[in-house]
Amino acid sequence: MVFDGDGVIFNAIRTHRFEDSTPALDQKYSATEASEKRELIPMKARNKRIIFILLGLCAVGAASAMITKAMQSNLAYLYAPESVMAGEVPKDRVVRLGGLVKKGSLQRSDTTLDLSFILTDNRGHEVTINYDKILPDLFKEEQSAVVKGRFDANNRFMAEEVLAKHDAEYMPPEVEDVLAKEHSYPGKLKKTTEAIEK
Amino acid sequence: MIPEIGHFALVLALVVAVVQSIFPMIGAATNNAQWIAMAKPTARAQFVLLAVSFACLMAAFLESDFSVLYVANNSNTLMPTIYKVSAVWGAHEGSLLLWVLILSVWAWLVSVFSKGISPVMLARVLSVMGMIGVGFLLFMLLTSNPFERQFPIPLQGRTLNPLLQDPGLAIHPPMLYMGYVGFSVAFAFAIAAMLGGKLDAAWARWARPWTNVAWVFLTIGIALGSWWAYYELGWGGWWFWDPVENASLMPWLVGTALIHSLAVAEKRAAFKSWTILLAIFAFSLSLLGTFLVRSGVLTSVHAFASDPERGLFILIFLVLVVGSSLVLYAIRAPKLRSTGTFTVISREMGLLVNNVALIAMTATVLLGTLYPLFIDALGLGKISVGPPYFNTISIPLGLVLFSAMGFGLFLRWKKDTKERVFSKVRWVLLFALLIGFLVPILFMTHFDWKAALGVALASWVSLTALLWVQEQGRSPFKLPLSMWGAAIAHIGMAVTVAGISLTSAYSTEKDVRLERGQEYQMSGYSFLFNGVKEVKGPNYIAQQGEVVVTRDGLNVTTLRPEKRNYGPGTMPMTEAGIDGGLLRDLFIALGEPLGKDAWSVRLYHKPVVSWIWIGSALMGLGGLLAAFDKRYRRVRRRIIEPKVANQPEIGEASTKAGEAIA
Repeated sequence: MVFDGDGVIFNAIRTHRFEDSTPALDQKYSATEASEKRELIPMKARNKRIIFILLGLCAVGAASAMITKAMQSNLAYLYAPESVMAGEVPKDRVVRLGGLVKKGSLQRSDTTLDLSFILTDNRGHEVTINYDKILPDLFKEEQSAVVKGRFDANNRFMAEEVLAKHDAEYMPPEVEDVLAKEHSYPGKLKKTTEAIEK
Repeated sequence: MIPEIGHFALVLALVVAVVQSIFPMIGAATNNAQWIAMAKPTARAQFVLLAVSFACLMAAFLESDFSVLYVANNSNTLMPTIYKVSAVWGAHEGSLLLWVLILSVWAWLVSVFSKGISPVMLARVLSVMGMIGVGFLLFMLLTSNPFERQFPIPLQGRTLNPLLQDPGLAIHPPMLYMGYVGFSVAFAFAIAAMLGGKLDAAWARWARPWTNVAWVFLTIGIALGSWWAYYELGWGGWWFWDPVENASLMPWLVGTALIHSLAVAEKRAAFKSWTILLAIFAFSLSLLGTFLVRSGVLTSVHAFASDPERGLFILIFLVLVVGSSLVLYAIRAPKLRSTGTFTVISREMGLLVNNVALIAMTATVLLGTLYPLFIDALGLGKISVGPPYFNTISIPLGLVLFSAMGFGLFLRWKKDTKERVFSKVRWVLLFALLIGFLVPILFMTHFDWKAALGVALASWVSLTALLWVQEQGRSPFKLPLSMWGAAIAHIGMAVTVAGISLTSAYSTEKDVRLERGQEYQMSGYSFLFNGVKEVKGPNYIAQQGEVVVTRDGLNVTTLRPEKRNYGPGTMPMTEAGIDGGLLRDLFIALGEPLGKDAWSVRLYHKPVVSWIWIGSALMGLGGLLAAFDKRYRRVRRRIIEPKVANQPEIGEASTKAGEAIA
């Protein structure tokens, strides 16, 4: 889609700017610029097109590099408690953990908002979450929740954000998937699942 | 009985839509005047049938007819009447009915305000809209019939999702849909232009007001959604880069680009095929938005429980619409030669920068929205793309866009010089930079370069717009509406940008634990928590807190945030207490009881947050003024008078069609 759009725009520039306005450019520009332009003027239409395609590719390349960089630092993968226990979760970046809130695990401080609860998959894998803000309305024990945050130096998970499902009857599909017993989660996680099942 | 009438009307509407999409189209290709003439009556009949169908569904809601499954799932007898009405579009089936109803409203409007449009063009436009109608009506009748009955009949219905029981939300979906579906008019005009092989200034003049009005609705719809998220979700944010928000932002960005490229197509006969492409994309992205919301592929506030079959249907429809229009574009676009020429420094170039920046933004948002879906579909894991991604990319693009906005107004068509433009705006440029630096220093607690940049850009855009109006050298009351529209819309954008940058940089947000009688100091205000008591509403029970806000010992306001419970099976709702103002909002939301008369409370101090929505309202006003410019009406009248003028066009179009077939 981006490519199509660029193509059209560059087409527009090509036809309008160069075919019709080169005499004007010659008069306007200083001598050095004009000499550059003179090289451009006798150029065949095909060559101009190639130059614009190259320029377009450069622009798209630069944009992709920028986007990839922005993406890399802002992507948060979703992990199940199982993969936390298997030590597969990177410690140095923001991740998301999904699971069910264990019954009776919510503990609050008496003086501040600090609290902790346990995320479980009901198959014995558990991870403790620490949080110091207001829990969402739908946060309940024995219901699904997704937390976003990172592990600190002492290997405690500090959540920046807790999301509970949005609807009383509805479980986020991704949590459902991550918790599903026979999930089709590829790569490392699948291997560990198999290993544990064996 | 009433639901059956509604259902029957829906089936009839489908039949009429089929007729509307086939006969006028063939008639236009074969120059059969009778078939061409079928476009108007079928479009109007479809509107009447869908209005009947919609009225029947609404009647079922007002009567609380729980034998209708959809009514029973989304309404009960205790709900206030206004929410019984808004519940009609509160869930999947009804919102689709609203979608097609709005489509038929647009088609009806086109058929009424079509006096200047040639009958062949009109036939093609209405036929394309009929085809879209066929797709959606089939979708409804096959997968999501709102009139489905159930037995046994329950005595009481369930309730509308409490999040939606709010006046803002009652009008947000219709507004948004008016915008989404409104782009179908521009789309249909684009397809008709390609079929006719002719895209001239008259075509652009027809398409412009329609596109403007659709854009206005979309602007207002998005702003309402954002405002609602701010006061109703209890998080105090106004934009979350949530996939569904993104889904509505993308057509808006492309629509904004389309409005500007249509100006070039009309005035300078350039950007023709590009304009067509934008019209196709604007509507395709609206369909994509519908798909994303309705298919349940997204985890979002808006993703209601869903059914994969529905998602598949919309996906196929989307592929058909985008695929066939792009194929047509590939075949026909080379015929739409742009004849206007321009140099590097010209208004065309300014608008080109606007278009490139907006499209780049759209591509970024599209990537960020769809990337997690692709990764998931490929089985590579489940990821979410955080707001910083969108912010890092949109800030530099916004910089380019807003710089161009100021210069653009002063540029002349075709050819201009740097010196001339610069001599006009240099003082404004200096002044805007000065304001940008002074506002954070004089009025804010600390200097923040992003806020300074935002304020400088906002002042630049709004001051250039004002100077431009003043430059015209005519009495402001004699200026054409379209000029006022452009200036006001630009100022609106500037107000929104100023609001966004200042509120992002200077908001204070605190989650605290407060006991009854405890006081908390923040941003110069003192918040005294007076505990929580129980209050009864019409269909809910609320825990209502009382917080007295004072500043330097003077009473400011007393806020009463609520936590509402709408009965079993629903989620609790946070109703924030907000003291709004032009310069700052105080926002208080209740968290949860922590025992011993203590609650968790969320306290926000947000400077100029309301500017975000004031700016959006101004943008809407600007778009509306531009759409009602005298120019568009005058043209219509001029074309009706020589009635013969229409005739050769039919001949011409048919010869062209003949050539295409040959």
